[in-house]
This record gives sequence, C-alpha cells and structure tokens, in this order.
Amino acid sequence: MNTHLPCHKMFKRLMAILVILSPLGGCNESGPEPLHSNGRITGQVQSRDKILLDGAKIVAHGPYGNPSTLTGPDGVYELSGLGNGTYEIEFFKEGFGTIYRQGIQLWGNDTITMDVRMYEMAEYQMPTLSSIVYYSSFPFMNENSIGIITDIPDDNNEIMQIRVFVNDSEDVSYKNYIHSTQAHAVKRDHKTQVLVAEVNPQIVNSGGQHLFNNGITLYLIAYVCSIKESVGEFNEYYGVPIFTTVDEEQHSEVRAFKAPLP
Amino acid sequence: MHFVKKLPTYFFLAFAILTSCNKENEFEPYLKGDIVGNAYCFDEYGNPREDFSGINVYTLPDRQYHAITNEDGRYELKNLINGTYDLSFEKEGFGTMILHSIKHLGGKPTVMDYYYGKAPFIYQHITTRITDTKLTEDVITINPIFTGSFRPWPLHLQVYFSTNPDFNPETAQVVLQLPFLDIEPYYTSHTPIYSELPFKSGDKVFYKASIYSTRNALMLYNYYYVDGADTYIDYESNKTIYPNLSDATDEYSFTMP
Repeated sequence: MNTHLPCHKMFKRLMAILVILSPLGGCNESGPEPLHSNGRITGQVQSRDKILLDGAKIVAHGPYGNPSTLTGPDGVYELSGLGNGTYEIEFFKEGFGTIYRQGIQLWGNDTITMDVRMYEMAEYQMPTLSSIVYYSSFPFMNENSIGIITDIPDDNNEIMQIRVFVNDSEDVSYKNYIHSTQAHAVKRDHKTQVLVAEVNPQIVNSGGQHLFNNGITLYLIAYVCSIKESVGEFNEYYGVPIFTTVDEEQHSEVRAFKAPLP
Repeated sequence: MHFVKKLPTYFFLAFAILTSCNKENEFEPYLKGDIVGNAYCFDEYGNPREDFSGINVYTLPDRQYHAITNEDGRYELKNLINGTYDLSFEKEGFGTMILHSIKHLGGKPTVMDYYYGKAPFIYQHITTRITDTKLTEDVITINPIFTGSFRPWPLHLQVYFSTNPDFNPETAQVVLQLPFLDIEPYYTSHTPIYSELPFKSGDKVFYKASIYSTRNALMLYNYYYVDGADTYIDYESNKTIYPNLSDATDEYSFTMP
C-alpha cells in the first residue's frame, strides 16, 4: 500500500471505489427482505364443469416479487416459501377468465387454502349497438327493460354472450358499475335483433327505494362475456363483483339513456 | 490546485452516492402498504345518504395517517407501515365509529372486506326529542317529536331501569334495547316490560330512555349485502359504544306489580 499518496489522489481513488461499489452495496434493488419466509398458499383449480385444470398459472403478487407456479394434472398447486405480507393472487389459464383475490395476508408459517373454479371465455363477436328503444315501442319488452337494436342477423342462432353494465356516471365499465345484467336477444321483423336488458331490476335498497329513479340519465356499456357466468367474483379492491370472462377488448361504446322505471 | 478544481465534481459524486438509495424504511420490519375500504353514512334513522363522501378516516391514537371517502364511500390510506391499527371514521354532524385491531402486513393493499363488520356505518346526530313516555299495561309508549316530516319505522330505543332515583345511564341496573313501532298516535314497544326486569313486586322502578341509530345491513349494488358495523367495544371500560345515542329523557317511574 502506498502510504505516500498525495491527499487529493487518495480522495480521488476513494471516490472511484465508491462509484464502482455503489450499484452493489448502496442500493438493493430487489426490494425488502421478509422476516419470515415460510408462508404457503395451496389449493385446487377446476373449471365450472368440475374438470381439474392442468397447467393453470398461479401468481402471488406480493412485497418481494411475483413468485408463480403451475397446477398439476390433479389441478393442485402449491406456492411455498412466501415471505410475510399482503398478497394479490392471480389465477390464469388460456381460454378461461382470470381470477384475482386481494388482501391475502400471510404471516410466519401461515398456510392459506384457496380453491377456485374458472369460467371458460366466450367465443363471440361484439355486434354493433345502434339505437336504444323503450318498452312502449315493443310489446315483447317489459317496462323495466330497455332494448338495444343490433346488427346481428336474425338467422344467427348463437346465444347472446353479452353482459350490460349500468352506472349513473359516464365512466361506466365492468369495474365501475351499479347494476349488471345479461342481455337477451329478441327477434324483430326478420331483419334485426333487439338486445333486451333488464336495466331497472328489482334492485331496491332496504329502505324500499329503487336505485334508479324514473327519468334519470344512466349510462351503459356492453361487453362480450360468457353467458354461463351469472354471478361475478366479488373483488374487494374495486368493491363490485367482477365478471372474469369479460373481454376487455370487445365492448360497445358508452350509451346514455333514461331510466325506464314506471 | 487540480484537486480544488475538481471539488464540485467530487461533491456531486458524493451526493449522488448518498442519495442513490434511501430504501432503508422499506426493509423489514417496516414493510409498507395501503389500506383500502368503504365507509357509509346515514341520516339519524338509518336511511343511506345519496353521497358517502367526506368521511374522514384516521389511524389512532396519533392520527398519523388520514384519508377522506369519495362519493361511493371508498377511502385509501396510503403507504402505512405494517402493524395493527385502530381506525376512526369521523364526519361533522355524525357520530364517530371506531374499528379496532386491523391487521396490516404491508405489501399489496390490505382490503377492508365487506364481511365481518369492517364496513363502518355512521349516523347523523339525533335531533328527535322523546316526550310523553308512559308505561301502561306492561308496554312502553313514547311520543317522539321529529324535526322533519319523516316518521321512521321502527325507532330504536335504549331504556334504562333502576330502583335508585336520580340514576344515570351509566349506573342503570338494567338496559333494554327495544324497537318501537309507529302505532298512531304513539310509538309503542311490544316487549312486555315486567317479565324482562329482575325487580321484586312492589319495588318502585325509575326509568329513562335514549334513541339510538342502527341499521343491520345495507343492501347495495347487485343484490350484494354489506355487513356494516355501527357499534364497537371500548376496551378501557369493556362497554359497547353506540356512537349515536341521544341524551336520556327525564326520569319516570312505576311500581312493579
């Protein structure tokens, strides 16, 4: 070691060493370190028809990265060695609706069992929605419904895989809505079909008031969504049931209409 | 001189190194994360308000973290260090609700789910006055004076009983919670009172009453029930707290048959 190095040179050298070392020791980009890492999440993944799903991907989005695993032929998965903290678990399989579970807390040696059942995505093309019509226009509609004229040809025998979401604000989406309903197709004059949605449902709060009052402006958006999925997965984060088979890409424009309450 | 000329560069380098990482706070045991949830406000009779905004959420006891609900009642407390929290829900003109012992581990958000009483309900202060309290033929009737034209159904009362005159709700020997139905011209409780009381025949019994706001569940979006919380336990006194309880009425009395 050269003890006769001039002061400024020594300083320079020291700085150089610090600059070199800084990316290594100065900052740990991998994030926080867990106190415990014995947490475990396990369970079984099935389709709604109770078929065990092989190769479904389970991702534990958490504080220390996103560890993941795949289900085996028996549909069983296990994520172990998880650090303490709060996780969001994603269940993904091609052709199925992705399921999210929020606020999953692991501490110490906690084991959480989480079985899920996944819906198959709908194979359906979003039709063009044109004008909105009311029950007074057509005898086949009831007074709680609205109709949406579509370009689906009458000879199309496919089941309508369309779900309508309604809100009282324009930023309606499948994550931000007050009411959601499956749309049913009704024939009309051998040319077009009317999509009928029950938008003023029997939804009342416990004070007996209707959620939508007659005449207020509401907004709807329609998505391609499996008809089999009649109840959404309640999503704690968004505070509404999320329909997992909603196709984010295939949706209508937002349309305004008047609440048709009698 | 060379060294002095380069001095600004050295300072810059030193500064860059020192500030390149201040992540210490994120290391265990200081893992951070958000707490998100919903809170709801009602009028004094338990009817939901159209707008749930403006409810202040604080962490207790130091009120270090704060959030305000939006019109859907949603709040997001940001970046709290992990730990166990008590949350206070406050709004001007409304009773204050407290949720105890919220486990918060950090990482992804802690979600205050709608079950298990983690959605607090707060009510407007009670403006109704109770008059003409009577105990006749084993049931209590009251004649409330409402500030508005709305007549709630039912009206919830806490009735306090004691054999000592000049008692207060804290020192009452028996407290009954009774729903009162609107049967013109009075609100009437259908619970026979004598059989509920442990007093002896001939005892002179004094009683007072308070109105309290309550609502068991709020039916919300898509047939979904929110399991609300509108009372909590005060751990110091080990008593149930009714955040919105009116003042007690004057004292009335009767003799046990």
